Amino acid sequence: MARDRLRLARRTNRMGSSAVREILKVTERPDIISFAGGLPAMELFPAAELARATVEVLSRDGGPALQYSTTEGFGPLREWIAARMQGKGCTVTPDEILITTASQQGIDLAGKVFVDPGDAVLVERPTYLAALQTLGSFEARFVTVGTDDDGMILEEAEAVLAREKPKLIYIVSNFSNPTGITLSAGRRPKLVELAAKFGVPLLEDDPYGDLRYRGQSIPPLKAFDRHDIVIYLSTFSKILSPGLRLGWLALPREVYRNFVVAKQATDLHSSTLTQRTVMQYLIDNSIDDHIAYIRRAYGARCQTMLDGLERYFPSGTGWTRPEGGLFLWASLPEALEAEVVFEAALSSKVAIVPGASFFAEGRPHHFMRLNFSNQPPDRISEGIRKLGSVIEAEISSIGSSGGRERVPAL
Amino acid sequence: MNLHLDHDSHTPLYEQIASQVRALIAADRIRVGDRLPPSRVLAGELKVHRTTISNAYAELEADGLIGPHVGRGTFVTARPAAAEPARAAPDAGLPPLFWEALMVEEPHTDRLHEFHQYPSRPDTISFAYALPDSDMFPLEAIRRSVDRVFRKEGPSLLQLGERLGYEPLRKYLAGRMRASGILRADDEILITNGCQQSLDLIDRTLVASGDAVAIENPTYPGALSVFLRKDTRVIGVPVSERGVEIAALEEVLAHQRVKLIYSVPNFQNPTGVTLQVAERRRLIQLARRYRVPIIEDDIYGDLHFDGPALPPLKALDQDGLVIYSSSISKMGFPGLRIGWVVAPRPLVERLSVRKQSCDLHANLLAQATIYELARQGLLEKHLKRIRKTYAERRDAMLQALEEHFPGEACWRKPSGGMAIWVELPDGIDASALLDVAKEGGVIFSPGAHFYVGPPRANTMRLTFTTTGIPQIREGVRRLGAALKRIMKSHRARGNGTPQPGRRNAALV
Repeated sequence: MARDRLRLARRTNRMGSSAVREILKVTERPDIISFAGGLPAMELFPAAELARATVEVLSRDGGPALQYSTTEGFGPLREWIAARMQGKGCTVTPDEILITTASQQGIDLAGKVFVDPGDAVLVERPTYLAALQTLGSFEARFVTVGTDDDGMILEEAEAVLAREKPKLIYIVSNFSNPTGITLSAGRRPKLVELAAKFGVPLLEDDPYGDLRYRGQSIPPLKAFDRHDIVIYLSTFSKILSPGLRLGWLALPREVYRNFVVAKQATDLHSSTLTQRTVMQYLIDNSIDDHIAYIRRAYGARCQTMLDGLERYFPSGTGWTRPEGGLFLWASLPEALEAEVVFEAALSSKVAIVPGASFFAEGRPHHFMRLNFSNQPPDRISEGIRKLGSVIEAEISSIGSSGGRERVPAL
Repeated sequence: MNLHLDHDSHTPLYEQIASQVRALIAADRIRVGDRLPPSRVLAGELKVHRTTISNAYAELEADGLIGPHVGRGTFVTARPAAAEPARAAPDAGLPPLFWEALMVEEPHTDRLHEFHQYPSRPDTISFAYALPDSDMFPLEAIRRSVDRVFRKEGPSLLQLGERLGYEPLRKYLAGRMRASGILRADDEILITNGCQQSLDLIDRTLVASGDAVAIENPTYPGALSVFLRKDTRVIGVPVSERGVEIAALEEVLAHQRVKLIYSVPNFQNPTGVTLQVAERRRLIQLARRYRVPIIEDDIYGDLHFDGPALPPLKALDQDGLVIYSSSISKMGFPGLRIGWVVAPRPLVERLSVRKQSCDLHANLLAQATIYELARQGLLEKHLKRIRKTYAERRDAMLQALEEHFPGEACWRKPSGGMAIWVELPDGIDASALLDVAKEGGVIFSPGAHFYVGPPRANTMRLTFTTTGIPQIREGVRRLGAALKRIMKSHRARGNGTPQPGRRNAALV
């Protein structure tokens, strides 16, 4: 009734209430071992350091810290970010950095600037759920490309680019959400060239890049960007705190103004106090020491989960082996739906996210996403053990091929 | 568009442009359906006369390659017959990406930005921005609040939070909103990153392509930057001394399908006018009759100087048609970016889903800090203090205007808010005055920034919140001198004596 009265715009109706959001609500109960969320571990936040930084900023620059400020963001922070990205091989200058209200806003602004209703956006199959929701809210039409252990499959991408002429390519380049897969070093320059060849900007979402636990670091796509077509976005959410809502875009010069205008109409600017606080934290502390600390913790948790999977998961299942990030991706026998496993696991007080929501099209039901960052190792082992036996029971109840070899997740 | 012109060539510039664009289309770098840059923009980029671009486009149009699309610009309509797309090798030699064609629209809604670009000399006195005075921020109290908040629940405030906002702050606001009749039983509160985001979320949720929004004229430029899109219509409704003109609004609603009404009933930005109680009731009746929701932007509501606030529209509304929006930004802490929306629950549910897809939720630490300030009664205390100071500054500015402005200019005393709206004599352009005033060390906002459609060029907004009383006097003195100079040269150019603005009709 109220909907009718207020005549909601058509694009609103596509959003609906997300099933995943409901799942996350259920799994916040403390008695549940949850692999469902995607949260960083609260006990690892540098709360005392951030408190000191905030008080310091208020003591020294309280006036400007609480006042309106420029849309582009706090100068010293933009300089710090540019220097850090240069350290990763990107030719980025401070005046190409736009501070955002975390990386979700970066995706939203890209939608605002580029996507008209019906425009095609190329995404991976599967991809980050919130990107689907955000870009979907601009009525993007998703065209999808498969993923293997080296990330996006470029032959497929080329065919889709030629056929669909998308407005944007969206990719989580490192330790993707939901799969944990990283686009290989070999594919990176090729993807950039492919995007350039078809004249399509590349939206590189890199929230997890710093969270590498094994293997060699790979420069971001932005580092291979000779054509100035990569729109890079990242965040302080995973390395400092998500509650601060602070991230950034590194933009091609030609679109910088358009993003500033879009951001200004969206929320004027990101919290001045937060920007200055984070800058103060970065001056007073070694972020790399802190990153090393959370890497050790998450790396151990990742390994614990992989060991548990090896030990407790029945044949017929498979999973990715991420070198970083917060997630891995597991497959079930095709006849077994992850939604069924979700229900059964929940009664054993373990939560997972069924994978179907992460697909823009096709929606296979035999995948699930497992988060390993937000539970201590002993709970991870216990949870995977329970989950393994739940899956085993479900497989035998549907009489599926329990005897098959383990299959890869993708 | 990356074109390279050879000014020494015998080939005319327009032909160089046309042939290069033709080549870009042939190479599929610009595709059928892509928009070409407006000739004004391209002329600026290439540093050539606009006619040159028009000639080049005319040539391409004659070839049947491009065509105008009324109101939207010039578009590529066909590829040259001969060439299949000559795909460049993936390696070197690729022309730069043709961004212009990819973007949804050109940034013509740059209202807020142009507005914040006044260069100024160091001793400049600014009446330009509607900011709270940072010298009055209760820094010690805020510092203590932040400290306490961190000690009490630091780690959980650094984690992701609830999409509707930090629960204790929502409860506190609910109490306040209920007390003033704003929050009803079937309403909900959503915390946002300030009023600008509230408007943006409402726009995304309610305004679809082709919809019309009725808006006070003049109005807050940030509202125009949200609602004035290529695919929407914004209908300006005049503002007079009793607020938005109800009869004019009715005329609009009777003849056009309007999706949303945007109003700032208290101390309207930029005019400072307050919508009177009778008019508030009539506005609600209109919205009800035509079934059009109203956004009540009450960002200045707490800054009332002359007696208590009038009843909010939301409190007068029995039908769930008013969407109430406010923030702490004018109260004192815009850098924290915290505002809120009160509306019927189903709408807030949708707004919060949009909010989540935009940026998940508002900054938790900021929300907790404001709550802590409020809980201790420090927010109310601060409000009382700034109301008193701002009222004194308003009075000082009014007095200085009487003293230094010529009799032909007129203005009205606002009963709250941050600004005084001045109408200059007819024929005097406030932008020209700003140029002279800048030299003299004082800046303000020309009224043209605030209009939908053709502006009244002889209007200006003077804010009184960020400057002390001696500076207000000095600034208005400088401004008066600049104005007299402008009027003198206006007369000298043979324009006759500027006609007095119609006193008390400055807003229409």
